Amino acid sequence: MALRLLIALLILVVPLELPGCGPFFEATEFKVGLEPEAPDQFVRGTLGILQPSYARLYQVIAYRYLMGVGLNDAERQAVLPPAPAVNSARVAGPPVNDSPETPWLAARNRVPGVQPLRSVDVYRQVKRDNYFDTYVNCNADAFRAAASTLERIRRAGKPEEWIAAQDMVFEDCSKGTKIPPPVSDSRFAPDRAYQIASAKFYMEQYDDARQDFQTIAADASSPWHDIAPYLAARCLIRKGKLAEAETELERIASDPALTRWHAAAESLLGYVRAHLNPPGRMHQIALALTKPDSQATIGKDLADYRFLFDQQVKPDSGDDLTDWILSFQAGGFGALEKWHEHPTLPWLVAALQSARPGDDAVQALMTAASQVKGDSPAYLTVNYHRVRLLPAAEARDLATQLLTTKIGTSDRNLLRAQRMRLAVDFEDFLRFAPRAVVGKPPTSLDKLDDDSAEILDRGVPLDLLKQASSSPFLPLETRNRLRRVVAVRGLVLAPTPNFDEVFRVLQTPGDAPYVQSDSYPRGVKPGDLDDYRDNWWCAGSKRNFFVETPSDATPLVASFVPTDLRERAAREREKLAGLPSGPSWLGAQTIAFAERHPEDLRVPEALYRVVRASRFGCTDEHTGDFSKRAFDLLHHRYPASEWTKKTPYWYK
Amino acid sequence: MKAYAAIVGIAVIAILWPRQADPLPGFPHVFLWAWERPENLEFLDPHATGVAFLARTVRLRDGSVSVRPRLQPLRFPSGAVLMAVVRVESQDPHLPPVSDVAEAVAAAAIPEVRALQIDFDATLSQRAFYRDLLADVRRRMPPSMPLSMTALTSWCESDGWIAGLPVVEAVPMLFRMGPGERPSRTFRPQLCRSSAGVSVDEPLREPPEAARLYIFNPRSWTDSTYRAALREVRKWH
Repeated sequence: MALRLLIALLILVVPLELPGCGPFFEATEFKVGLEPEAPDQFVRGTLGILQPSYARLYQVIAYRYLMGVGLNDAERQAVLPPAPAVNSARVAGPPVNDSPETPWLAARNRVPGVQPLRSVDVYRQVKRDNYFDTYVNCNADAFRAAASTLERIRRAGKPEEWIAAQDMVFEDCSKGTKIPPPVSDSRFAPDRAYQIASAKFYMEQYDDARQDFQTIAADASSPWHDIAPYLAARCLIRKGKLAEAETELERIASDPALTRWHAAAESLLGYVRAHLNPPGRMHQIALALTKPDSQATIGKDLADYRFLFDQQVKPDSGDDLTDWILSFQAGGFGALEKWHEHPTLPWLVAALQSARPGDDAVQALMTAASQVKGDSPAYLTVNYHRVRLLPAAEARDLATQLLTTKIGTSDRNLLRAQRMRLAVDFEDFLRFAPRAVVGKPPTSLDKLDDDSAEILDRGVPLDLLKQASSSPFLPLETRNRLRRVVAVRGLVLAPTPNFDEVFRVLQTPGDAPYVQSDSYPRGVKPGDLDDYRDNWWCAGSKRNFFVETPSDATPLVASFVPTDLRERAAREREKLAGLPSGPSWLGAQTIAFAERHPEDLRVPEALYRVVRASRFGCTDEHTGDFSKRAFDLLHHRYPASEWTKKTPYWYK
Repeated sequence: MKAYAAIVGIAVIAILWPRQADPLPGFPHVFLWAWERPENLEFLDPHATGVAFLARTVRLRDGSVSVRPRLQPLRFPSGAVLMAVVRVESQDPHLPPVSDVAEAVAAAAIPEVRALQIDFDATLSQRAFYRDLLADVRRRMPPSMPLSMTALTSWCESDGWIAGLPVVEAVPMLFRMGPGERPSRTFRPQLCRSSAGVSVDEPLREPPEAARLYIFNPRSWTDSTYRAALREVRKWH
């Protein structure tokens, strides 16, 4: 009964959903990459420590703030709109609000007597030899316009005939080839003319569609006559006649009778010019992007600018914004010269980024940086670089002072990393070694980033590591981890390793003689086997096979460590570099002990665990030999042992 | 005379020995996977190499079916054998009716393509759904058009759920595997034996025995990457 109950419980706890792909490992982020930690604050001018890794959208925003232009509310809304809808068309199932056709289907399906439609396919395949491509043929605007027109038609009379014609038009979005028939009620003739022109447009009959739209434009009684010139110009664009389209759009944009369509025409003009003259258009946009009150154009301009940037277009004449982004993203290349020419805040930031301690220009840069006021959007960035460049004592004071201010987690981690490198002694180092995970409060300093772990692992000798393992400056979990590292490192460095300890390590797959950062946490308890062989350690590498560090990598300079201790650390490092993988080392120790002490009651279990380690641990070319030797020893010498029964195989 | 008879006998046995028929007769033995990025494959030899291109992605979300067709241009030489690949992504356990999904998948079987391939990740609880989906898609496709599928290697190794699926081949993907996993050279299920998927950025310790290879490239294909990939796979057969 109990067994049945247990089986039933086991069935219940099996997860119903298992990932079909993977594996996916959790990575811990200590600093931001492509976008700021708080984009909503960034667009308000809280730039934090500006990163060259930020996407160009944020570089443009940063430039505007550094130049004192900033963004007003409407511009903010335009540059950072809500997350975009999923770019796919619903074809079946309940409505999804982000589908472009949703407003139309909702309005249409509400009309009594009309057969409900589930979807509209908005994509059309390009028909060309030896070519496959698909494009969005019907945009959201078309569906919104159809929904509002339906309301007008409903108020005027029976809408079924108009809806049937509109269904044909939207069928043409994908692969339909239907043109609505002539209308029966002459009141709706202008609407039908518009439907027919639209159908031709979606069917890619652009010459005919253009002619129809021009006819509609000439009919002052048509409710569509003012949009028709704009659509006639779109026919030219779809046809690829961009130069003609440019002329026509310029005419629309300057026609006082078509004021309502000026913005749309300007937007399309930008598109046309981006294709006709990419360098010229990029230059034009770069100038526009730095102007205040650009809410009407900044969203589209930014999209075009980023598109042209991605195409590696170079503006036909230099502009400060593009030059600055190129320089800043390249680590401040050429920024110093630019700063001498134009001593503006963006160029100061870029030049500071490229500066190294001892450079000739550092003094002048530092003088300029020290004059940046606390309310400047560049304040944190320039002072971060001052910490990098100032003499150690001043840098320490500045970093400590900045760390008392209210800043984001990523910025705090960056400053703590700088401050850690300036440590005066080991205790001072430990105080700034822990970091907080991005997304958590800046005060939750409970993890080690790569730089802290690197110094602890490779920059200090075992004695100091032992001291760290009981330091109150480190979080409890880190201290516990360091204690285990100290024990295993002491074991592998010992001339005659203690078998009690070897036996304990065999039972603890999470044990290794290396300090690992929290960037890629192991994910299971030290005593548990990791499913992906992150167990014990690999040969000559401090990590498992996911993150390898060459054993000859130069460690970060830990200047606070006295020379004699640094030399001792180097000697220990050299020994560790020659260490075989965990399963091999444990195998060698265990087999040697088993040969010497065959009567020891722990030997069968230890041999079983060596074989197990060879299966689940990180291995090297000798692991298979140890696995076989342990297996043979176990089966020949202890055939009746329970551990032998648990060991049916050995592993290559 | 005896020697002559023995040679003839061996030759007859060799000819008559049962061997696996090619599930895609007349198709090239190498296919380039062309994923959702601009691809200009005009350089490839259409007699030696086919193109399995991502034609559309079908997303199953909240009981709805959404389709995102390929929105990146694909150029290929005249005469190239095209296989449309449909990626099916299910984001939650609430799956839509099979027929809705099948309709969206089968729509990729346009006249320009010679075969259809479905790429999906089925969780344990979704396997029945995908089995039904493949059957429905098969019914909707032109009878002469082969239906292929990609497969996790585990589907070809340790569990038999793909047995009897209405596809001509299941292509085990021997790349982007879990750490420590080593791709097999060959697989027991018949469906998994004729083809294998490899990637240009993951060298294999042992070449697969499959006669047909699908090659993935994490970047857009170039003439030189194509030539290098061909040189590599020719060493295997």
